[in-house]
Amino acid sequence: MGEAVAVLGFGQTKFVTTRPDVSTPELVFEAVSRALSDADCDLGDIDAVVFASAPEVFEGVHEPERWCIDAFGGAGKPVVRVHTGGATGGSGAMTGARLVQAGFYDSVLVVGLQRTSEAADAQQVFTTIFDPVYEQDVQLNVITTVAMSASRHIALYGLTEDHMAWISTKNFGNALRNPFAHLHKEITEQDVKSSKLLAWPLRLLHACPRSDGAAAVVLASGDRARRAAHKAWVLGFGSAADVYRIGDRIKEGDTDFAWQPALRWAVDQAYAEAGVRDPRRDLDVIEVYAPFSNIEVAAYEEMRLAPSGQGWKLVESGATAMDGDIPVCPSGGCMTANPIGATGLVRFGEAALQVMGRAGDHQVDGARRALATATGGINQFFTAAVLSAELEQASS
Amino acid sequence: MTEPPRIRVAGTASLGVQPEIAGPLDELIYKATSGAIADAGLTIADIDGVCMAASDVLDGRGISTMTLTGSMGSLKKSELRVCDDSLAAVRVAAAEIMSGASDIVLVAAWSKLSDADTDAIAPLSLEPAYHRPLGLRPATIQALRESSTLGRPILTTASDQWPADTAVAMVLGRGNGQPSSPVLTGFGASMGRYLVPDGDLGAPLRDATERACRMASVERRDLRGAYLVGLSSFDDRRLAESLGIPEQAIEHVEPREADIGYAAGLHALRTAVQEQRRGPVLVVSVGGVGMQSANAVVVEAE
Repeated sequence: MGEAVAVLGFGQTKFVTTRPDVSTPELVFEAVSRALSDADCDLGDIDAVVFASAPEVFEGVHEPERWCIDAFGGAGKPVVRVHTGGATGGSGAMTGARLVQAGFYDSVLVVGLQRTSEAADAQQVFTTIFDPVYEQDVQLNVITTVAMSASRHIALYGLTEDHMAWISTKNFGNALRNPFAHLHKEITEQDVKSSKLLAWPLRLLHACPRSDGAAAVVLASGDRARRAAHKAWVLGFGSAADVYRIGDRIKEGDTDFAWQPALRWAVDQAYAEAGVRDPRRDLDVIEVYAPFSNIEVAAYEEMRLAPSGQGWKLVESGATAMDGDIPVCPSGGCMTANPIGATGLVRFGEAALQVMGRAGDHQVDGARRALATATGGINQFFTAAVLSAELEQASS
Repeated sequence: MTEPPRIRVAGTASLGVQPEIAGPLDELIYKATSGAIADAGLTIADIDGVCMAASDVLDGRGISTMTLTGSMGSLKKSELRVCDDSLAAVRVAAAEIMSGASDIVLVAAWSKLSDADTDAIAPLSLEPAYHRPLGLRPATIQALRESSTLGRPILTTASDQWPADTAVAMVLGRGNGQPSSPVLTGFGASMGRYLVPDGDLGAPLRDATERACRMASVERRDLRGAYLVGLSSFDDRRLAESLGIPEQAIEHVEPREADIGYAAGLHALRTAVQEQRRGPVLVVSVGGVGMQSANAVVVEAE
């Protein structure tokens, strides 16, 4: 691998349904200002910018990074925007890391943005992601496709509505300790099971909210990072894509739409780079990109926390609770805040906070090594990053 | 960075630039990507990752690259996508290789603007509260900025650009120990402020060029050519002065008036690679309203 790279600072806005008090550039400015302050640096210390924002149809401006350039101090600097749907924030972090590791720049600011509230109907926008000839008329959207995945998981792999309700309750409870989370609500498993049905088996409290917000991360090379007061080293990154067509992901005994094999491929790459051999032992905390409760259970298996088809056992054992042996989403995760283009970057930044010991009330005690993931499309694009308090590789 | 990077151009393919190329977009892209891989003497199994340049707005769909995994061959591989000219995709792909994450990366870009309503797309680049209602066109904004830069009124005409189709792909790999392939040795980029009336119109172009040449350890006066795209109406003499290069070195990649969106840079790079001039050559793409940004690559024939 090339140069070492570390996170020096992370900033995010309070995620809400809509922010009528700020323009889009002003929203970006909030997050960037906080990240720079957190990294104890200013715009002059930034060599390049990666801007992560998913379908710009939401903001209604083509190439929003150009509009926001003054807000993130990018004028006169190299700027590139990345977009891989929901994985955008993770792809942004990975692109920034690779630019530093390649030696192109000593420091990169990664900015994530989404203002889904600017679109009149977000689900109508999501409908356009599907094949225009064969699929759009079927009116597929994110909820109906994830519901298909959940129904297969229930029918074939032991998932129950009780498991899904537990996931929701866990994440909502964790979010109460995260001041930036969108949803701050005490719920019970019964609340989840009696919430409004969206598309069976998905209910309202199984699903992420529609959030507006921005996030930013300052990445720096090893030399600069070593001098910093706090940092989270990026030990490994992985990225992988699956096929587009859902039908091609349902092959008996080989793969299934309930699974996320591309997450496993991405995670395996990150684990290999980071020297993680036993995730349950080598990792202390995980910020997984799981905007729906069934997605998180499936992810347990792909992240190799549980054998295939047995992710629900981690739910029943409480292993992924805040006081479990591998807490997942101590921030509350995507289920309590989902500013699409920024969400993957928030997972990355939250994982960095954990290993720096700076996650405040939702800090996992003694966390030294974390995994952050991001997902785009309908479980199609994945990124995975292993972050650590120490630069040395993990070793079991 | 002490030594210039050496990113080898292992193979390339293009469908050419035409007013319309029949067929669905995914098949057009597949022809380009499979052609580039074959040109490199490789198979899809040799490709470690892909990097695309694509725009939802220009492609007419949300997350437009979702349906293109097959055309890119990115199953199980790293898949990155930039929303900028394809020279930015080349830079990101080079970083992927130089970081050690991948050995061979496939870069691709395309345009199917024959299917698009380009008149409806143009205003979407303007922020909606103060600028879009003015009904300004990109050519008007560039002319206003040019006038500001020169400090005098100028005469301009409506752009003659016509929307066109293409698909172009390039296989990039490490540059060590390979027989005579062009190598990419410098990458630069710069973005200027958004829709401001003052400031030097040529600054992003100049900054991107300087950065690429500095990384390549090449003096601008030593450039044997400068392939430029995205500059349908800009005086060559002023361009040469701005870039610090001889005017006779400037090449405008044909067809100059064709609008092929984000594919322009990769199309220009392919042109430069195929012409294989001795000595370092610069490839620059200019983008954004009023020449807001530029991406530059230095390529050298071995």
